[in-house]
Amino acid sequence: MSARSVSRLWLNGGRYTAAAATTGDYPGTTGYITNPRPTNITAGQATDTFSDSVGPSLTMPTAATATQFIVIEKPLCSINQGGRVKPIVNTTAYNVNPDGTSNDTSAFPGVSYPFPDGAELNDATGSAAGNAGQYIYSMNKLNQPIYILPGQTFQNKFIPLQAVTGVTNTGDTVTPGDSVTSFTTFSVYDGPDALIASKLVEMGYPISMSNVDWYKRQLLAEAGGASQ
Amino acid sequence: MSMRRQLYEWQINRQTNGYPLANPTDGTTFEQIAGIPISIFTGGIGNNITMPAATTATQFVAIDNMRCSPSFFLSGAGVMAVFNTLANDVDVTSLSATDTASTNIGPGAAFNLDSPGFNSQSIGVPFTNSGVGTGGSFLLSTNNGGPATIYVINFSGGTGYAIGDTLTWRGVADVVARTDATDIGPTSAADLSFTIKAGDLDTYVTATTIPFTGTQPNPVYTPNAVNPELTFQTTHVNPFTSIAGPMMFMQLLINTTSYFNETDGTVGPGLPGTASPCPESAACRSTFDFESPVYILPGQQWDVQVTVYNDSRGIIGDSTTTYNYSASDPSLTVTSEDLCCLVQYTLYDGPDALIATKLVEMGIAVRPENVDWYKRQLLEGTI
Repeated sequence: MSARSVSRLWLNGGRYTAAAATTGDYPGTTGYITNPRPTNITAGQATDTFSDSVGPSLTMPTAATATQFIVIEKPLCSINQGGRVKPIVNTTAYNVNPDGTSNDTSAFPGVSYPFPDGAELNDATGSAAGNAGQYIYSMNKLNQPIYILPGQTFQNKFIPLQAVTGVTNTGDTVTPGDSVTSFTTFSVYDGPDALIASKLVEMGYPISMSNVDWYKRQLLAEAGGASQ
Repeated sequence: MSMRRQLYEWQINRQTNGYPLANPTDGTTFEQIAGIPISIFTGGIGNNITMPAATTATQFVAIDNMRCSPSFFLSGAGVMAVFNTLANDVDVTSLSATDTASTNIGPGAAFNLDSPGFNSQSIGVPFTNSGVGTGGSFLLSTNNGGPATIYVINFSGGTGYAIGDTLTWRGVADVVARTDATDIGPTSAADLSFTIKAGDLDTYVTATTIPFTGTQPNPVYTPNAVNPELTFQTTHVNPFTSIAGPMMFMQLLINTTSYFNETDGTVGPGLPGTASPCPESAACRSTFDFESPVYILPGQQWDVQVTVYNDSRGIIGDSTTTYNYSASDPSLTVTSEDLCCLVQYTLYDGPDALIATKLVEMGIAVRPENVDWYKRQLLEGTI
């Protein structure tokens, strides 16, 4: 039985190779590495921020096991390069347009859900050197969190609308690359807590740790224990 | 019986007893800790405590918040903007109070910094020139119109000047008090010296690449008269990763169990400082909260480990440069980088710890107000 607040940070940092230093195509890694080099991503290319060939990857696609219930609370990403993230549960994209279609742009844009919260939009103008910038703040948390029910798979695709350029070096100079990132916070309910979460969904209650605790207290009260 | 809000702060540039490191060579290099989890309590780096953190049989701890140094993920254009902006920055930030009497900077120059309406003064041709440039006119001016505290040397015209050339003027010993200025400062040969940077030249073209020394994959970026010390917000930029800051994570361990697991069941480095930053600033606000506190039950041992992945020192890639490096060369103005971690928790002791344990059994979040509520229930006889 457990309920934990956890997170996932992804960035387009790959491992250095001599060949990649001239092209900017740095291979992805399993887990994080030191001094990750920004790698190329073509405009519109969707990268799963949990398990993919770009940046630090997990060993398997993300899925809720039969005894887990996952609640996605904040899908955030870089404001650079027109970055946006698109959560996908099984094969269903979270965001759809009013006409029912879904494409690369129907996602959570970084300028509305930035990471870090307060990222500067005008870093290319020199204000990045410490002058006052135009800080971009997140609109809010998701009003209705995304539920990953037991047995479902989950992907969080990062999609840049402009090309992301990897770092390259020739001779004794380096051309800096675009570092882009995605950050997702979610809660994992395991064991009996996952059962309670599923029950709350049936009852029409939003899943939160306080609501799960409330349901436990109701169970205890019915069993004759103390209740608030 | 007590409930106390506690705070533990760790910084890498501290002695074990918590006081700042005195000698730069006593510090820690990036190479020593890169990718390696370090305990902020007993890791042997920075300030530490005498034994691992643990609760006694009569204590209960609730972790409320964890913070560590943030990082910023920049575009390539953003990194070049930092480089070009700083390469153009040739200001001097302090001059002595005796400036008002100075009238003899350079042959034939008249100079009075604090006179009303002072904007700029010609300082004549240089007394010495390390390069081959000739001609031109030189102005010492306030950055924003006088009176001000920022002064800049500008020059126009002339030929043959190059980046890195050092020009000097005589007769201003009482003007320049600053001894650590990169661009303007006293030298043994003259009283005022000025090193030409990229942005000073009329023919200067915005740089599109950044020079480095060493070899890949371990290049070295060393600030000097031409290369600025790359800084963004409160931390250094690594031009090879386009990340400003240490890319620092923190992991909470309770006995042998890590709190922040990845979704594939593996143990990752934990919560990134960018999501829970210390300090929290306008450019980086917290985006992570424990929805429910993390509990350390009586008798459990706990630890917080931090891991860094990005070299964010002022001099990058040099395995001899520590985080609290301070330049011994007066021509360099490299500042040190600080890494910190902060843990905020509530310590329940004695009967309060028993109540906290009871609240956990009841499925009620352990918070001071809930412990007080339980006490009231006991007094009222409803429990």
